[in-house]
Amino acid sequence: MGLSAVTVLGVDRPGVIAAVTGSLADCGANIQDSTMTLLGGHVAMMLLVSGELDSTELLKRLSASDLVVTASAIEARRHFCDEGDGLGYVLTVHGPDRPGIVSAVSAVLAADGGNITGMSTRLSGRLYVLIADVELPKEVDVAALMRQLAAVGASLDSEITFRPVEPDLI
Amino acid sequence: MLRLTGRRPTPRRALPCGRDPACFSFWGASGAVGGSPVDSARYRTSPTESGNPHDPPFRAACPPRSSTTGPSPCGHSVKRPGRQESAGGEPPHGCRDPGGTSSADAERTPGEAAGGTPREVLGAPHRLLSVVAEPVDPTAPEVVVAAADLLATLRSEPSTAGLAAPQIGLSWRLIAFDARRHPRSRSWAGELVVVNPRLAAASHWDHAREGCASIAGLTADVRRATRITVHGHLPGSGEPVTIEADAFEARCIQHQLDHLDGLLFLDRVPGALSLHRRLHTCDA
Ligand SMILES: [Zn+2]
Repeated sequence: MGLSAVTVLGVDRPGVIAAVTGSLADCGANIQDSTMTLLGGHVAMMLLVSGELDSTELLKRLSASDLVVTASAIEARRHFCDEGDGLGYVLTVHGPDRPGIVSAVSAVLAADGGNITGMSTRLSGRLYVLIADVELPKEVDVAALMRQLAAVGASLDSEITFRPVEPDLI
Repeated sequence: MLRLTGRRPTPRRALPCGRDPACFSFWGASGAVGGSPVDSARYRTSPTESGNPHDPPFRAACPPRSSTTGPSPCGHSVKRPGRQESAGGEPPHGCRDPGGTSSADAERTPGEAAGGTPREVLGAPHRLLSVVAEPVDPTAPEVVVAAADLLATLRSEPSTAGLAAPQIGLSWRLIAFDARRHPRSRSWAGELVVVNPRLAAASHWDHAREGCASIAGLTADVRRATRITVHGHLPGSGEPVTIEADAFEARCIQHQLDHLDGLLFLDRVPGALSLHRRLHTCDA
């Protein structure tokens, strides 16, 4: 069974999700993982759908005047780390808004093989906030990584915290 | 430019201010972003930048502590050693008894209410919101004035249930809170200013959404203890005070304690999906 990645961008209005998912159902597509959020009043939705799909047909059915839709076949699910192999951390950066915060911080993580598995950034007034879920290979020297992050944070006038994911106890 | 404003009604219980009951600081009402320390010449101290034992290395948020001494089941008492109940025993800066009499408001003397001057609430990013605050002498006159100002500022922010001195530009270990207005409050220690507060016990951890008067427009789901015991001193008399708080009041106090250690709730967000933008029409 084929997998397709579908992205939907558009103006936020009631019924956008109903329209998109209705079209997918009509195509016989089965929604697996999906995420949706609002970015500056725009819908941003990404879906992993399965089914015997014709992406041309899918695009035709999903198209709407106020939506930008892409659909592409992708390979089977894959994982960067083997199950249970990575160490989970949460990174918080907050400080004055300026260009290059995300790239500077993510470059430090990437240099150690760290993988950002989720990220939210928000600008509220002058305050820029970045929260990232990070998976580190087991062999990473976390203390050294933290020192590097601290240096980057200082250069950006930002506060950085980097802490292990709280275990789910329940 | 599209706006989210006015799109989502809030079906939750309405508050007097009409704001989101999920946040103990319902709204950073002042919207004071990037404000400068107020009256810095008079009050500002030199906060320690390093070497303070309260400052965890690299701002690592402290791991949750498990309690060995849980609060009493009722969880809402304020113990004041050596103090007898008396109408005339009102300390100078607004400590009222839990479940106080119906005349609690009447007991607030004009002098007490007028004793402080509301100050501007600093908005993040601001250096004073990221440094460890200094312990102070609760009986020192300038601390008493600061406590009155902190309380006056809290009262002037109707959607805020707690403030810490760094938020008004003082890097001192003072917190003020009044959990009464919040719909999820159970314990209520009164309207209180505590000097040099320290967490003695914490248990029953839970996630809930919170905001901050210094952070306009954002909230996050943060894990906090729902039962805590806090020791500290009252301003003026220096009388020791122990607060046993639960539910919302416990969360509010822990949030203020974090301010004293230069931490914001943003530093405790458990993951990328736990950060939220407030969706209120007053988001301006
Ligand atoms: Zn706060």
